[in-house]
Amino acid sequence: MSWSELLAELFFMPAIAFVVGLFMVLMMRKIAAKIQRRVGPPFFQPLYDIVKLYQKDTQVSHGLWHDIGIVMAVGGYIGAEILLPVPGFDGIADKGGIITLSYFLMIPSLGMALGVGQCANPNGSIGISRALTAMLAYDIPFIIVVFGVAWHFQSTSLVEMVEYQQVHQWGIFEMPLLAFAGLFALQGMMGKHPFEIYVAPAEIATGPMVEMSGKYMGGLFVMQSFQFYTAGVLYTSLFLGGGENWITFLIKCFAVIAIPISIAYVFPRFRTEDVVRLLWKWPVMMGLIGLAFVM
Amino acid sequence: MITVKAVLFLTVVSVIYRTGTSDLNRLGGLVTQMPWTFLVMLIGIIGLAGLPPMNGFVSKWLVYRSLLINGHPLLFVAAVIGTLGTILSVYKLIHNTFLGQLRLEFQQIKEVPLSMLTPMLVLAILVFITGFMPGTVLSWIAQIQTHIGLPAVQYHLGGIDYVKGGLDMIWVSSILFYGFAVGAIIFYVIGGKSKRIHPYDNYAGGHFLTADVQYHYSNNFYPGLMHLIGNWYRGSFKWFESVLVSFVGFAAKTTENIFRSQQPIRLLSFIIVLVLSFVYFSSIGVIAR
Repeated sequence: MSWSELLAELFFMPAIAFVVGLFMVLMMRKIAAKIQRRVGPPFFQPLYDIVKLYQKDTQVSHGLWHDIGIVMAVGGYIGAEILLPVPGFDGIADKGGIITLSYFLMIPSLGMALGVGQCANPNGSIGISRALTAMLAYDIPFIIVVFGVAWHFQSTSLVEMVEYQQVHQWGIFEMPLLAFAGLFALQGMMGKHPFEIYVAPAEIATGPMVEMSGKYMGGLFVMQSFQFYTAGVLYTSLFLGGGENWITFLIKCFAVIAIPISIAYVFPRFRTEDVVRLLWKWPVMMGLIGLAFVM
Repeated sequence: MITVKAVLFLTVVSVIYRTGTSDLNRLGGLVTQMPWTFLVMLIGIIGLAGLPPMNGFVSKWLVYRSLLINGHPLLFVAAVIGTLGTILSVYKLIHNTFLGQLRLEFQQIKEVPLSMLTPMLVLAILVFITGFMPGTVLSWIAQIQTHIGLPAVQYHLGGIDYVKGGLDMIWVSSILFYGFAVGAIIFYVIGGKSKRIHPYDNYAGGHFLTADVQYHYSNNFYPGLMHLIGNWYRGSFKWFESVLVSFVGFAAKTTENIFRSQQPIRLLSFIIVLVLSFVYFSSIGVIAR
């Protein structure tokens, strides 16, 4: 790989991820509006929100680690975007693989947890306690899915998984149960209803976001768009054959993200122990049965 | 893994040394007073939880990959549950010690002296270097493997070469730090200027905070999870824990007694017995050289 290719990957992969993520956020808000019989926000609203938040006068910092927490949250996702295989840019994706990537996705959570902890607000700490518990809940079905997929393709490299699927058949047809369990875990991973007890605006004052203002909140908005993109691309690479070209690739990613969002807005939220119980029961069961078929 | 444990032990001891308490529910907010100890503990918990770019990640990656490729799904899931449980417990440790509200009685304490800080920092750097360049340690492992007749691991300075998905920590860590750099540019350059405020200037549901209000969430940190799995922890678990605690306590007291008894003969005879037993066991080959 030449220097120009490397620099192009380092610059364009996060940039594309950010733009696509903004469109996914727009899609989420439009779907929510349709379900709730509203008109919904205008086309550029996700971008306006971020620009507005970064330009605010009131930017309250509770200490150095409050700042670094936001940097880690955004930066961890930027690193993760570079390790994702997308059409045309998968030179660096080979260096990590699925195990590295699933660990990369924990770094933003850790960064946010540190930042919120420094805020010294119990609402935030309660939110983090619930978010980490939810992570324990959804990562177990997710990791069963990762195991099944890696065993099926006999590889931990995402690039090789995508190549295999493009030659043979999509993963979702070869392991439908694992794909379904993965979709379940995706719902938890994106932190949408019914698994969003850690935000709970009416109960713990939006939890981790309680002390975030201005660019801190803007950083979390940027993180959210990266998060949607990562979830979509990861699922597409594991089960939907990755990307042959950008058009089909993006259609697949948007379709993947649309499913959890459409489910989310017709549900209330579960309590923490119910989240754990639900995610440890049905997706784990389905994942283990799917694993038995694969092995 | 030993380096990570040593780092965490030294930081915890530093906190006890300065505050005089080891009760996690009575600490909090020490990051402003002891920033370097916090940094070292952070490196330690990242290593213990096995996140990149510390050395714990490389060892976990090797374990996971071999479980994965050799087809042990239940062991793999058990290992991941262990990792996630570690993240939860170490976050509770760092949160209750260093984050949250600083108590009034700890507002005068300072960073530990340099003589305590230096070993911690050296160990923390070691944790990072062996994570950034695992080849330095993997060469020893390859030597051991060839010595006992196993095929040696195919390593290079940055990690491991496998045909079906390897690991290159220099790349992985560099990508991570590149991500942090871009994140920092977005945060510090594009964002406006932020204002540092007093910890009591905090959202309290419309009320105001003073020094005598304890505004820190630390006791029973994971109630939702404990409500569900707390009942599993009983019977033989409790018994085994009490056995372990009393054994460690007994060993620590014995060592302390021998060390502090001020009886040179006893100390000397103990050391002689230790050295002789080491020589004996290594001569019959129990301890590998």
